[in-house]
Amino acid sequence: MAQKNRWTLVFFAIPTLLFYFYFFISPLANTFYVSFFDWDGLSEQFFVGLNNYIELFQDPIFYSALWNSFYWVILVVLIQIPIAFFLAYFLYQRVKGFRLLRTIYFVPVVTSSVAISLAFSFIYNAQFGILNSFLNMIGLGDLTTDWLSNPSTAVTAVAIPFVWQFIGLMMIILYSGLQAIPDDLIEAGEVDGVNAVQKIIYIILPSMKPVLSMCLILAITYAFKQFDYVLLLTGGGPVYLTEVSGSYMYNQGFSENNYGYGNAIAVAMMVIVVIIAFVINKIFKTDD
Amino acid sequence: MAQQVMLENKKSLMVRILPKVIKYFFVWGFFLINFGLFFWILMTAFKDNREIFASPFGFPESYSFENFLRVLTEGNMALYLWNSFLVTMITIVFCLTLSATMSYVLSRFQFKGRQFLYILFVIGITLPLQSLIFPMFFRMHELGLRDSLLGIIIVYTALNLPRSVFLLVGYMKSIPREMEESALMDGCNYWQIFMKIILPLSKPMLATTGILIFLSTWNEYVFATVLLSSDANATLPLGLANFQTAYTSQYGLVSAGIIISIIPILIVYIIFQEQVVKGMVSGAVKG
Repeated sequence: MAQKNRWTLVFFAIPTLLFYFYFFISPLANTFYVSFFDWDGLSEQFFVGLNNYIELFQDPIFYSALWNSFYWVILVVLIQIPIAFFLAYFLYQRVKGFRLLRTIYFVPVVTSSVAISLAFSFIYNAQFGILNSFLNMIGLGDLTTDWLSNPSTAVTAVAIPFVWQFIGLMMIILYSGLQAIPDDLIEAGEVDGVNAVQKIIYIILPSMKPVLSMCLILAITYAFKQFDYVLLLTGGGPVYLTEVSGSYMYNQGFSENNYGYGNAIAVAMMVIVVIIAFVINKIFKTDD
Repeated sequence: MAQQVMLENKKSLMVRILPKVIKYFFVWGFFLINFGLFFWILMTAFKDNREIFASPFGFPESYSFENFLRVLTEGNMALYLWNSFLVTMITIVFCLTLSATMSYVLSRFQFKGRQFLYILFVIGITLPLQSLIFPMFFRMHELGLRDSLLGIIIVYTALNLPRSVFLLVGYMKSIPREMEESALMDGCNYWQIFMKIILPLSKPMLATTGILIFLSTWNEYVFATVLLSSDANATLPLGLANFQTAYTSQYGLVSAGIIISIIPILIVYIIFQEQVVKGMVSGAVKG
């Protein structure tokens, strides 16, 4: 390679590398670094070794936040993926109005979490919300409650907008998985006279395994990354009950000025997400 | 005998009709939930509080655009729209430029540490990026860019770089090299090859990446609420959230705010529907 061209390459790469190191890699390293300190964001940083992590492992709120993140994943697996699957399956069988349906299913995916949060705060609203009005209408008035502050409903109420928002995305991914199934596989089943339910259980689902595990990885990483809804709908309350790991990290830093501890939570989150992605990838690879 | 036949017929009718009924019920039921929700917000935007409480689900008594106008003027929503537009567009240009040049080097040249650099970029895809929020905040504070559009543009560019580089490297690797080789013979330098061959051929992936950057930037809330403190710099999601805090119990106004904030992205989505859907899927699947 000529000397002149070598410099061209340096010219190509250097701006991006400088930018990336200064605004991404260095903050990333800083997250780890500060997690070993006690720091309020203003005064001097005190080195405390592993204290933040020891505290973290004994912190019941952290465990409940972590559990809530997993609960979000469970809701996705039990509600979002099945609904998305049947929508995809029915669309795949050709339905009139396919384009219109797909368009509307996907609208929440491109809508901001703030707009969706506000819409759901109206749904849950005690005075005119759809939910309470609907319950009153069908004679289940006893069930009406203040959904976001009642401790027994708040955790689920905060997760529902998230579950609903991404049904369209899951639907499209599963739809492309369905399209990839070879036609003769399905035809062979039809010749053998399987019914609709058998067709789904014995032919469709097994051949969609890779797509389904992809949806699972997606569900887990999205559930751990997303905490807009907690910040916007409950702020983590009542009494830390709806806190997920992300919002707990956020609140420890920006509400309690506990930046060392907040960074320790950030590190824990990163480690957990990387491990989970790694494990699922392993399972997925050996299966393939 | 005849009864038997009738029973058979009835059964086969059930078998034929029932799946269809379930199918249409399900498919249009979910349609109605989605559509109904947005429609309800739209109808609420035409009402005042008195009407909202009197008939939460009824059609408005009159369709006056007063709420919408108040949102745009009093509520500063026009300013937030403009801020979001600026931030998103500059971030797209900035991020695509930085990632395309880097991807060209990573996909076309062999040198020591190439694989290591590539991994450094790809690492950023798996991580929950919100974990970087504290150091990002303090870095911007140090640089005096905390409450500025430039600051948030830098942050969004950094957050979008890993996925953009990953997608573009993958795509550029799949472009055949013959054209470049003959261009090199003809005496073109790497800059010309990049501008005249690589970039034009990468257009589809540049479009996909650009759309992904658009969606993630346009709707971003957490970093915006941390970094942008003054109302004059608020982006649309942040402005909408602040607007809701200021007009908490004026539900009609807040509804109008929601609708106005959704309209631009809805237009983009409807125009570029195929690309948006494909981009989101490839971003989700590969990222």
